[in-house]
Amino acid sequence: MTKAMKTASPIVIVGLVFLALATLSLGTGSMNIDPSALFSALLGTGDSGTSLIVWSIRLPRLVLAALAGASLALAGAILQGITRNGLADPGILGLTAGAGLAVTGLIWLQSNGIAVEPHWRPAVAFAGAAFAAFITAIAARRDGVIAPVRLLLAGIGMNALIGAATLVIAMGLDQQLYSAAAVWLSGSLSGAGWSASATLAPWLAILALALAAQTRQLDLLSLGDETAAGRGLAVDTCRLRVAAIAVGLAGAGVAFSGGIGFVGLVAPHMARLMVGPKHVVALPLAALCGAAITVAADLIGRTAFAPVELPAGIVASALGAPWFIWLMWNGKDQKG
Amino acid sequence: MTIEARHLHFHYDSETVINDLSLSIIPGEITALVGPNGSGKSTLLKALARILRPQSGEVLLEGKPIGSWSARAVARKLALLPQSPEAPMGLSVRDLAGYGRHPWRRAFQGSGPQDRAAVDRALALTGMTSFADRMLGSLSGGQRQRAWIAMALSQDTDVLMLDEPTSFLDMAHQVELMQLVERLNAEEGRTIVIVLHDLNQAARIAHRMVVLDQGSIAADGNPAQVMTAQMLRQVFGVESDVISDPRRGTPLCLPYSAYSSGPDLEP
Repeated sequence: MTKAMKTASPIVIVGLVFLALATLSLGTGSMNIDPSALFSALLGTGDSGTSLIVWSIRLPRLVLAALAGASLALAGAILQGITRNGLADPGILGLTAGAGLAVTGLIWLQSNGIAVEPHWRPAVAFAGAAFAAFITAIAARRDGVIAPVRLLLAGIGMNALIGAATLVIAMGLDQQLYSAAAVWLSGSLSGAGWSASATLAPWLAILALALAAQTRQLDLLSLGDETAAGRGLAVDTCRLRVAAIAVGLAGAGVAFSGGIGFVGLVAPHMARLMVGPKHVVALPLAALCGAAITVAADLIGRTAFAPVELPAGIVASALGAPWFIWLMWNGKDQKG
Repeated sequence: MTIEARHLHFHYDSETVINDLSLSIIPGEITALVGPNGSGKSTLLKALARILRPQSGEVLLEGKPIGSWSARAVARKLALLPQSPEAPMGLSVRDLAGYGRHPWRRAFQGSGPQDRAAVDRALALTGMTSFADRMLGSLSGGQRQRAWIAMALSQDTDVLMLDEPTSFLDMAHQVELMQLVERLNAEEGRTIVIVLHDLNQAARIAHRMVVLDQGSIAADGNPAQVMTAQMLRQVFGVESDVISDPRRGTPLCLPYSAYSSGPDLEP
């Protein structure tokens, strides 16, 4: 097998898995749609009832799940690279919680009559994630060095602290907004329309493009600071730049779908297991894995206990937490 | 290609690591930095390579303060290999060697024929051509170290800086690595600045030995001038015989006891 095939075939395989999951997801629900009816609906030749379900309920939800999953996976891949720690992820480092606090604050403002346009939500979530990242990094820093273990511990502390603050704000909401906030915080894609994806997509596109220019820099950073500096990388500014991209991606990823945990942890590992650590191939594959995992989590959440719906975030955590524990047990961080 | 340190001073918190140190690296030579643990040899190497910025004093690269050079421009002139570097799992030897091309490449630019040629040459020089597609994790310690040196070589710099490249290697691999360093100097004309723990290794390959003690230069010269019983007693705290290497004629030290009558060691 040639090197190009080795790289391409996982992308093709995961791509096919994603398409299969997407087809299944579009076809499954309170009304099941068989594949042929689904395709005619997608092509606009199906009956109007089916088309309505596909185009205005299931497809926007699918697209949002895929975009959010891809964002979180990319954020996780960056964080794991720059901290050289396979246990780093936007949830564990408190970024998701920070974004959650900010969005809950936004909902609180709304309940007090100050409405903010929903397309500002990614920016607000970004600000929350950036704030949490900043505090976590400060708390973890000692003698100018951020040790991986301290970073994880600081992240855990940050999560608890922000979680409490979020709860305090959420308690002050009326019943209806409170349940909206609670659903958001648990990572639900329920009721997602096209507007969320339409807001998210440009953010994601810009950040992904910025990231694409940094893949070699990420490769170098994963060799450690001194080796990277010896290859001519301005380590500190470069790390700050990619960390800002990661914060942006994490913020954007959770802005509409809420705190979907563990996708950012698991997807980069899956990608690296398949194609190795080079970011130029590992990043797109991680994004694809993240999209597939989130779509699968949403599908399971919608169907496993129907008509009761589990938020995708809860399903992802239920599946991702054992993986996290397995990683810890195996000591499978990235050193080789 | 000149590298010159002028009145360098480093301290971490209250501990002085480098104290008013001046040193000029002579192009084309192998300069070995030796000294006891904590003598500042690693810190000096990193300062010479612009990895660490001294609290006072300056390093001049081609006569210009190294701080005024960009990291990328410095990396086109000199390649530093840190002590026991670590790579992520699943990286191949060729991938690693390719990272040395970073200072020569622009964003979004794939590796060109010049990059590939430089990588191939680095792999050939280090004897890693047949291992090019192997994963680093599957190699022996000696092979892995050669792969790292291939990364530094593909950078195509006049100067190579190596920080204790033989630590954690077994004896055969240490000898092999020292031979590689000598060859890179003799055949390729590369200037080499190398931090070594083993004085005898340093004496065997270096044109010049710089002995550091508590952040200052305690001795500087060719191995025969530097490696004396008196220096070994004063700097390393050992009583030793210094004999001539039967093969090369370079000095060889044989410590036989710890120096115990020194005033610092008195209770």
